[in-house]
Amino acid sequence: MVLLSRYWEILKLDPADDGIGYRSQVLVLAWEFFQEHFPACDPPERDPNQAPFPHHRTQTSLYTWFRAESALNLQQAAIAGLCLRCYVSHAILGACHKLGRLFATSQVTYRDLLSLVLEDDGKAQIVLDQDGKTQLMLDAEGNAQPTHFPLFAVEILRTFDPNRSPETQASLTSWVYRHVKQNTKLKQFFAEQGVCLFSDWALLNKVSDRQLDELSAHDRTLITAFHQVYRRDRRRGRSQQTGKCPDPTPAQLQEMCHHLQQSGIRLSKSALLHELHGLAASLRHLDQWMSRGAPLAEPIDSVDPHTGQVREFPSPTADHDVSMLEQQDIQDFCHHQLQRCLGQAIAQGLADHVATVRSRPRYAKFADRITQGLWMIYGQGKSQGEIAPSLGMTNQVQVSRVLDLRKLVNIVRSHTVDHLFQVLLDKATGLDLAQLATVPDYAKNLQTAVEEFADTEIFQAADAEIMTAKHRLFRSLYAQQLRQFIHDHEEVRRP
Amino acid sequence: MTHAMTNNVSVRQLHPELIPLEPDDFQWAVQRSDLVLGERCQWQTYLNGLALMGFTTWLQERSPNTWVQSDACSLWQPETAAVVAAVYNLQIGEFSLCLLAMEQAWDEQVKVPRAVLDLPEFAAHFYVAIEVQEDQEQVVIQGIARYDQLDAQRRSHPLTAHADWSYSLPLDWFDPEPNHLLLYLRVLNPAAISLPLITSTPSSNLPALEPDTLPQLFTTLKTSDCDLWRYLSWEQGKAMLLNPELLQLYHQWRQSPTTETSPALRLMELFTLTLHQAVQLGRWLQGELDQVAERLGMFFPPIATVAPMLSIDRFEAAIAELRHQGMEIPPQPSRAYHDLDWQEVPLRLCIVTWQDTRQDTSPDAQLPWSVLFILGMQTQQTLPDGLKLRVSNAIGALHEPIAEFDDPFLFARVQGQQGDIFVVTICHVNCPPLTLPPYQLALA
Repeated sequence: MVLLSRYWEILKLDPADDGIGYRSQVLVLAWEFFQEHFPACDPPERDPNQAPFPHHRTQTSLYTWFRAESALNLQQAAIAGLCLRCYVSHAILGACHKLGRLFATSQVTYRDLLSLVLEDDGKAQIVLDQDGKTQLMLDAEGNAQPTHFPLFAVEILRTFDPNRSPETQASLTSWVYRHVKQNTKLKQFFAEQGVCLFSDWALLNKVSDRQLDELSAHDRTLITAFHQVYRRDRRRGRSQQTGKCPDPTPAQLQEMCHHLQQSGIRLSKSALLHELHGLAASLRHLDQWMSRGAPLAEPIDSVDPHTGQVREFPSPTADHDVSMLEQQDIQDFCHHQLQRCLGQAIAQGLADHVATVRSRPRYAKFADRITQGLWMIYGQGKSQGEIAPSLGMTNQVQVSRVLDLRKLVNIVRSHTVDHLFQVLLDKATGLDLAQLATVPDYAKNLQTAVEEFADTEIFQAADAEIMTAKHRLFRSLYAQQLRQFIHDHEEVRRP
Repeated sequence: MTHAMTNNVSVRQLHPELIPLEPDDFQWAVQRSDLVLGERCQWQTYLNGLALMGFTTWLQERSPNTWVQSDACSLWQPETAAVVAAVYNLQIGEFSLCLLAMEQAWDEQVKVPRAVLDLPEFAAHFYVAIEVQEDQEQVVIQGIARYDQLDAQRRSHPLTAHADWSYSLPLDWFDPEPNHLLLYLRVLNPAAISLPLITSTPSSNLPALEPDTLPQLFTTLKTSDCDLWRYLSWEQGKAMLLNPELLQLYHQWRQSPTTETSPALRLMELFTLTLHQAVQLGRWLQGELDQVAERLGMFFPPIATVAPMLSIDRFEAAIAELRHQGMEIPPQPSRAYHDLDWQEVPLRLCIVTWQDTRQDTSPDAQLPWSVLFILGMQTQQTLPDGLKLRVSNAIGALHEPIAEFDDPFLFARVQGQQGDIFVVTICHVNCPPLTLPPYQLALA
């Protein structure tokens, strides 16, 4: 479900460090324009049985206004463009989330990326020149003037052509995603940032066949020899060693040298070590790992040779929307049931979480301290480092592994969604339950609608405060209910 | 409508499901991977093992009543674990699952062996992309996809297979919310996801190999490291993957690669039956040699025109003798010769074929088909002592007569139905066996 407000609410960067990195602002001009031209689109007035909103057609219309050739319509072009820029800002956020998730293990967050690509505040009125090559800014008198700082969002729109890709609204979204990935600043960031979490040896271990094919024959032989020895020993010695990949031993280097010699490469142990470090250093740039080659990395405007269409990879979640009626049902039921379901889910989730920790040999002994620890964090606003000693743990890492705030949110979320879904099945009248067992997409879309609702109402906030809780202020509905639960079961608070 | 509603972001998009791995998981994965051969295979199997362990842990935590049946899955069979880089045949109730392990998801591609998408025997209801962060001791469920979704996607966006019998699927084709898998398992009827039907039609696109290709291949494969794709075409690979006995023998033989032992002989026979285009005996009945036979230099014996008593060849005499001993051979059976220079001994294999007369009168009964193999010399000499004519099919050896006391001929007769394939090997204790291209009984 894509909300229509995406056409008049722009997302702007918000660097406040207790926030989520951005905030939205309604652009009155865009709102008025949209209401005037798409009057039947306002949800309350729509026929509930109507098909999902035709985003592609809307975008095409907006795009046509935006690219209008006549100078008389400059104002209209700029505002239609504004609606599209609002939409693009949401898609940019989506792209950053996606990349942030992909690179989560290298400690890149979506906020880092957002600060590089979300630069449009919706203030300037921008049109394109006659041949669609240059961005122009409207001055106070409504005259188009050259601008020295073309906006990234407008650049994305400038190269976009909705008539070329008749797929659903996913196409503008995936167009944005590709542009974000190819954004110069972002690429620069990826090149500098690098994969800092992994040691050289862990990185070399990860080199895939596909990457091997792209290396020079010499480097390929080097890495193959490294894998032959290092990966073999790592697997075999797994019972004695911990997770981190240690430096290769002299004996291992010797064996690698021997393998290399058979391939006609003569290297001393120290020279080999030096070359391996060099290879790892080049692999440290994240953009080395990002997609290239078929099928996702084709140039941005590549065209399918068979159909002449721009190749699109729409997200499978983008189609098969549930109908408006069902959507309304879902919203109504969920609103009424939310608090109760969340309460139940917290009780269950906490019990699950404790049971899971108890089943893990390494942390089992701390299982009984979890509730106490959660109280200290959510109830008393203490930091994970602070509470380690009182929980009998040695450091913050241990605390975060045992309490695993994010995982708890995940479990509670799953239970909440399950409960809401069940309530929906039991009580909702507008649903076609016969389809549930036979149409996989129907089941999925119903659940997705519930998930979106639960995320919006509860879990986005719960998640954001964990991610950004430098000030350790837990004010979300989730935090409140978690506190309440622990408070009500006072015996669990104290050891 | 609340303010936050506009953001419309699934929490799952921000944080994937992380599952920590325990020492037991590593131990199990090491054990499984120790059973396959070659470092690259072992590492992949090790990752697959970790993926399975992590996935099972997750499922147990999230849905304790769900039982994963993994004893039939590919990881338990080193011969399959080694050739298909995925965990397949995992069962949950009536659903089958396939786990795809990868070491990083940064390139947003999921590498999928062709077999698990292209071969109905390997297809699964659900595919789960799992990132194994071996050094971080955790796995991440990157996404799930249903067979019907992947199939629809590849229809609208055709995939090109890589040379190594794999595809790269965009990670976008996978649903990032693993809870949806739990939903499907809970509410869906397995029939809601229709899997491709398994048909028993054998592959007909096998290449005709040069006579010494298979022996060379045999030598190469001894040392290869899970890269059969370098030496076999996908059609051959497919045929091999669908032949469990061949996979198992191949695995056994790689553990102790020799060419003289009987497992090696059997493996070579299976390789030949599976990978080599067959001589089509059906064509002979119409009086013409097929392409394979021509390439091998087979020939119909010249028709005797003058002085029949003088020109009658030894094989014709042998056939007459067999007929005399009671073998029912029609008056003019189709017959061709294959001259072989075996260890500097000029052998000649005579292949005689005919359709037997109907004994059973029911109209459904297929007409049995006979092939008579007669091994003799191109000259007037007798066969070397101890020479063995071995005729086998996909199930095992059918006949293996041995020459002794100056035998001029060895013969073996097999019967079969339309479509049956036989393979002939000439063996002697002192020399490596010679396996000939297979013969198929089929009417065009």
